[in-house]
Amino acid sequence: MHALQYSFLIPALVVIPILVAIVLLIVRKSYFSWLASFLTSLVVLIIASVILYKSNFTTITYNFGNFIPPFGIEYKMDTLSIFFIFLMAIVGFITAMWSKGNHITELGDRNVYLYNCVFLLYYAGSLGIILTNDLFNLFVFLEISSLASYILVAMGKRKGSPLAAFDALVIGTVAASFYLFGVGILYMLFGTLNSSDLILQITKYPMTPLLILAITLLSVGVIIKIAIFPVLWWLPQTHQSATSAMSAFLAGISLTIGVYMFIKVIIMVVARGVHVSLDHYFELLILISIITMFVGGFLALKQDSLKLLLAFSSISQMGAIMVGISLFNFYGMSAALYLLISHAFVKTSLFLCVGNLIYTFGTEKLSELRGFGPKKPFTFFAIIFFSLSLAGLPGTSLFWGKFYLLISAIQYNNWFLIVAIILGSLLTFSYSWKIVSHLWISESIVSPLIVVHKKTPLYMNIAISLAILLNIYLTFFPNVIYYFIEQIINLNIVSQG
Amino acid sequence: MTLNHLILTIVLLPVLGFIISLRLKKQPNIREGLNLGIAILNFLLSLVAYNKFANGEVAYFQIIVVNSYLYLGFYSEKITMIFAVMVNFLWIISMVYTIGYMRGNNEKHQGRFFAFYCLSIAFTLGVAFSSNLLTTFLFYESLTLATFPLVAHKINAESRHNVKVYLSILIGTSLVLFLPAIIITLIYLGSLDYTLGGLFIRQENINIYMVFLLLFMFTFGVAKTGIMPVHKWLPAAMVAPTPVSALLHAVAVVKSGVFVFIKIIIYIFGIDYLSAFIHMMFSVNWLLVIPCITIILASLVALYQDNLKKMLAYSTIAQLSYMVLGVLLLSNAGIISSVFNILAHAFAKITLFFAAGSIYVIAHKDKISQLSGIGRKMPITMVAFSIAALSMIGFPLTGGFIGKWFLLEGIWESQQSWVVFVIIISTVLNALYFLPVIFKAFFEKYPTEPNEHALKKSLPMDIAMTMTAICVLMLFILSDSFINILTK
Repeated sequence: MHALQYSFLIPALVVIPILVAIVLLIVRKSYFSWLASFLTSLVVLIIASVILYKSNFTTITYNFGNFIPPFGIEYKMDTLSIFFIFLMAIVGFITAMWSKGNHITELGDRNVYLYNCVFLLYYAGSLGIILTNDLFNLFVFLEISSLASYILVAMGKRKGSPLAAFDALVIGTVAASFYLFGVGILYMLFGTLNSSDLILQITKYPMTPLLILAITLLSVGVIIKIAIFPVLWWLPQTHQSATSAMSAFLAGISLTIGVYMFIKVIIMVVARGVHVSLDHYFELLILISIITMFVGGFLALKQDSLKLLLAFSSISQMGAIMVGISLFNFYGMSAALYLLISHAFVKTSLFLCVGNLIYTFGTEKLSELRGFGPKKPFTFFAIIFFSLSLAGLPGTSLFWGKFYLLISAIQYNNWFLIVAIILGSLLTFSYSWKIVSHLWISESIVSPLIVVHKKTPLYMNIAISLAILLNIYLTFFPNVIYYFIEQIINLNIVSQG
Repeated sequence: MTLNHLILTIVLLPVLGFIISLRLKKQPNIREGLNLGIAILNFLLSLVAYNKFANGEVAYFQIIVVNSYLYLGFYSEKITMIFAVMVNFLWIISMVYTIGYMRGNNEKHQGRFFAFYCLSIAFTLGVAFSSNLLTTFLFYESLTLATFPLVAHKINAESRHNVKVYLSILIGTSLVLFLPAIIITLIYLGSLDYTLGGLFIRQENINIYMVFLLLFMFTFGVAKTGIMPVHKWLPAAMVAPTPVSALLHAVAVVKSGVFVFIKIIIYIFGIDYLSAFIHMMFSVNWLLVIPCITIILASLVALYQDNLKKMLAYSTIAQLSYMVLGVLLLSNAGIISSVFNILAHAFAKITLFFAAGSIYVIAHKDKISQLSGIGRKMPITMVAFSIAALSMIGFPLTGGFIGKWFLLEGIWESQQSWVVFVIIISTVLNALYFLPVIFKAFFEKYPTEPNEHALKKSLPMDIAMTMTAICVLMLFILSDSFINILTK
């Protein structure tokens, strides 16, 4: 690990969005605010690429105020962080571009600057979570991004929006406090908050009830953020209530951040450090992840509202991803990361398509949208394409994730798990196919659709086209992601083999 | 153009047809002209490719690479090349027929229909050329989804139910059995490539139960072979317009199922390994029981069908098991009979479906009991039907005879004489359900109804049927050269 002259770029990733957010509060112009948030996400993407190019998969760090860690706050960019930063930057870029048209219908002109301002804060908070190497600093960023997300949900114009925001706030705060208590106990035991330092300390320390309590608290806090069973109801509510641009961003980012926290805190610090075997812990985790996978899948199958369907499908996918992580071997981790990145892209794009539908027809109900194809061919094509990707059609990026998950399950040699994963993928197929068959196959029963806006703004279509191109690229060049994943696993997250 | 380029072109050209058909929804003449052109071009290209292959050129290339052991690749091999030529040839004929049928029947959404017809062909060719199990699985699964809009073409309550059966059985078996079997193969054998002699022979100390499990998973996972009890999708798919049935039965779907099965047995398990494995426990080849049961049961069910298309569907199920049987005999003649039966059955079944389709379009009849005297009104149709039916029974002078001959030779070679009885019983049953139809059509009187309208003729349909019926006969006459190609 070494600090190089370009390491100032790391804090810039967080600082730029916050500064721009403050400027937006002063200027208060709609168009300017959109342009600013769009350009900021572009800058983040560029900085991330520059860092990746310069560092070439080595780890680089930055110490705030030149205080040496473990006392000072350290920002660390390893391959895992770059992976997530890239994911966030691309999702942020596409959503920010798309959101221009969305503001007109779902926000009202007056609130646009506020939306963009809070959006940037949320963005900064999420980037901070990924970059910081300090567990308490992570909590701070978690609070920043969570608070921002509650505001964004509450800004939705629907009837239930404030209530959903309040629900999310209560649950999110509970989760954050669990996490904070866990970090507090760790600090009491080891006197350090820097995660690299913490690993060294934990390895020397015997397993005590207090440490077990700390691990439990941390896990519960993080798992609530990933919407794992039984605390999963807050997620569909927020997705339903937020504006479409926000739902898209939340779908791509918020759960992904939760998974990142799980890998960073539980897997990389605790599981690598402690002496005792965590087999039972992981077995329990696998069990609840499988339950999540099925609960989410079955509920998704029942929904008529597209947004709810997609939200429950996110929950189901998170279950699959957590199974992969909890298997704690090479293939499981690859499967989880593969599923994570491809799910984030596909789900964001699907929410953008739904946003397009809401913009044009003012509805998101599957039963009312039957046979809209000829009226909006581009959106129609996009939504079919992404639904098939979500179904894990062989060759699409989600298919490779599922494939690796099955490999890891078979290597784990547990028949229950293998059957569960196979049934889970059948379930995924059925709810994705539900979208396809409702919108496409049963087109003879055309309900009278009212077209609210005839022309979709150009930005919306460009954003969705970019998403389609990205997905096609990942379909034909899956080795790009695979190379990334190999580099991440070289960080010794799990034993290789 | 090297063979690599040729193969890629052959797979991608039908995709071009797909795009053209989707774009030209309103100009049927241009659309169908272009489609026919593409089909003919593709057939010529596949002939050129075959010629290059016969001259010793070998193709192999990868398209999508994840890492060193997971990739999609194409390659050339004998059975593959024959299969590709056959698919392309039948594509031309079925295209001619489909044009006549869709226009004669005034079907809706013809653009979509032709588009997915082309796409199914593309995926079938993908199955044909794939160089490993993963690629095969990808195209196999995509084929199911591409045929879905075709099967669901008539949108009504009956079709919706049947389409559900179609999709759930095919997708269900492939996700629950086929895909896990592939992954188990990958984990235990470290490779998915089709290898001469099989993958298993290289590995020592393989768990016997694992081989048994894999055999089970592959046999029932490739449900497109129509093996019982996962055969229900085939009769369910009969709700589709007749050209689709022809496509499903003769060209694309079931044939790719059998093709994949042949490939798995020969190039994954390996014939030598499998026969050693089977005779480890019994002297009887117990694997043969599975197709034998299907042959007898399906023939019995076909005997009691009144709906012509349903009867043909069950006849297909029985015939497919002949091909499965041929491979599982694990002898040279058995495999030759299998590949030859793919050809013979393809030509005969496509003729039968074409005939059934034209009877439906022109005389509006789809029950066997209504067919009295139809042979005198539609002579070309019923003569073609009879030739194809005789081939199904295995009558001399038709392709079916040669297929059965080699099947018996294969049985002789592998010394499983009890199978002969199954073949005899099934031949008798075949005759029992086909001959009455022919008899009824030619020798009973055509019922005169009060408001009888004159029967129109459709030239494209007649041309298509005549061509396939001639092909059925040609298979017998030219059987020597075919067998030469196969044995070489």
